[in-house]
Amino acid sequence: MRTMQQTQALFSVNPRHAGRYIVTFFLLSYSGVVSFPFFWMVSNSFRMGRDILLDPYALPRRLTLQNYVNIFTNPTLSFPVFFKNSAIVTAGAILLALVLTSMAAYAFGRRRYQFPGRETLYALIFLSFMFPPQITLLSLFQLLVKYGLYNTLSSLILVYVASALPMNIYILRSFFMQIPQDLEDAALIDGCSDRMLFWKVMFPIARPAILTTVMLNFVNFWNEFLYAVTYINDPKLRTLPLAQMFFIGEAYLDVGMLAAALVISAMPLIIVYAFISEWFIRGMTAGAVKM
Amino acid sequence: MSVSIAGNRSGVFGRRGQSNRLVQKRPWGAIVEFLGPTVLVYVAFLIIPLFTTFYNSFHTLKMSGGEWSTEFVGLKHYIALFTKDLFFKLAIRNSIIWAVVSPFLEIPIAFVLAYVIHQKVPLKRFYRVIWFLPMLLSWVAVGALFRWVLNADWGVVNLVLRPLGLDHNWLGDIKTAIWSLISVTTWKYVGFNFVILLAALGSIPQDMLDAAAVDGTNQFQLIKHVILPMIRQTFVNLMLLCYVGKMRVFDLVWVMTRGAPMGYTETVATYVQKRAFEWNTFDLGYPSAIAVVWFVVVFASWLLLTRWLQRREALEF
Repeated sequence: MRTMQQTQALFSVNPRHAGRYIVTFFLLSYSGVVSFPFFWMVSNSFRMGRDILLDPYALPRRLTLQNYVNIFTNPTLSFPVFFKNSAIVTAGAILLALVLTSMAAYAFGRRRYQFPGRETLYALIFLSFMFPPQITLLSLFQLLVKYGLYNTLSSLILVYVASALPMNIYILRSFFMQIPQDLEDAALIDGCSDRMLFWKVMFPIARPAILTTVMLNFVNFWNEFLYAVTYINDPKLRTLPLAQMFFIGEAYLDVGMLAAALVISAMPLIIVYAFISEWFIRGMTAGAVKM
Repeated sequence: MSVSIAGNRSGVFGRRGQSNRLVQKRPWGAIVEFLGPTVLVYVAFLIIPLFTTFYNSFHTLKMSGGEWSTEFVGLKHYIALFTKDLFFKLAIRNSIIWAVVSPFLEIPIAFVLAYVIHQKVPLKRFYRVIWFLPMLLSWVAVGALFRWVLNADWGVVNLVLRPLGLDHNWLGDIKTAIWSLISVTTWKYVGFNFVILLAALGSIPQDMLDAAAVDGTNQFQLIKHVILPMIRQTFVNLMLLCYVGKMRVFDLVWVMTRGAPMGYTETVATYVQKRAFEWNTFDLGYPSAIAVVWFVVVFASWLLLTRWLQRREALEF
């Protein structure tokens, strides 16, 4: 009798819970549809190319890591080189952009550094946010060729930094504007120089906003394609997105290996996002959302 | 509180006799140190190239023997662009469709999702990561994946639709190609808009929602009269961000269709790239003229849109 009641309780649907089940059902179905291409790619990266061609949608019957081994060891692919190129460009551009834009955002955001024309200068820099890249793409190509910077990773770093200026400064500035004046005054009374005030006091406080900009820059730089395809011609200097494009065209690269290459390329972003998603969203609330 | 602190502060400054130095003297050294590098990069990588592009658009610019040879041609490129370039018209049309339609797809879907997730549902964190995943893939990877997903023979979309008799060559038909690509960009960006809208919903003070609940408003009224007005600025910003982003679509088209079929997925960005590096004209002047026209279009429409959205703020809600 008692078990009967329990079973009944289990199956009798409380209307409030029913709604919740329906919502969860829809959300999970939606997640399934939306993430299908992603998980399909992951699943195929563990299968051999000929199995995939026979049945593209089967699950891996036995997991093989052969694809991953292949892309890292096959000397004709030089995948590790591309990975290293992307790492150099992304890390370099993130660091440089961080130093430049945090200093600028600080000077734009605090009353202490007010000077005539400052808001105009800020508006000019912010406007570049809506520039179509083509307005600088070709002339920059021409200038880079002229000054021998074409086909170098450092030119790519500088171009990425320039492309990140408006968004970074915008997010960081709105954060610096919210820091109480007392803190600045206290530090200045203690005899802090402006440089120390920024690096020792303000920069550490801005950590949430900084993490947000770093994450945004990481995603954008790691996956950047247009500038890379225009300014890099040397196969040894390809970044990952460029390499991916050439992999797609390669006849000898099978589907399983391509899937493995795509998964490995996305891995750093996924790992970092999984760790800092909480911070990322918090920084967005502080900066981008309120604007 | 703030008054007393302000009073203290001036007292302290007065006692130390530093008031003038701190308040009045402008720290020019620090200003130059903080702003200098950014301004340098801005001028070198945005302003100088910008004006160079304007200059180039009135010239023919060819590479010969490692040197650029320029020849002044006046308005020739602009006249050609507006009178006989059919690909350019098609590219403009596609880019504008993309930029106008996308905000109305991405943001409503993202809002519905954010609103549902903002209620107390289980697995919140799981959704937040899963839906953001497409944002983390490169456009090249996305292009490769969706070339398979939309494949006419064995793509998963057609596998599902074939029993219903709705299968179609999505990327090969001039009527559906651009819409297929628009759904791919929507797929990629819904997660981003969702995360921001979720953050915005989280920033609405709880007592405001409680007050509305006490007044007995239903869900619909709550959204219309409380929530939407509160996060309006976020909506506007996301709209503008989406619009500007779609005006520059390049990667996806470059990887998936290269403008095929017959230019019906060509965007301005891909057309500039083709004219600069793939046509046998090898002239940077003509694509520069395209870039200038496009710059003016984007800039003007962005200004109008900002004005319009700010004005509506006063009227609506």
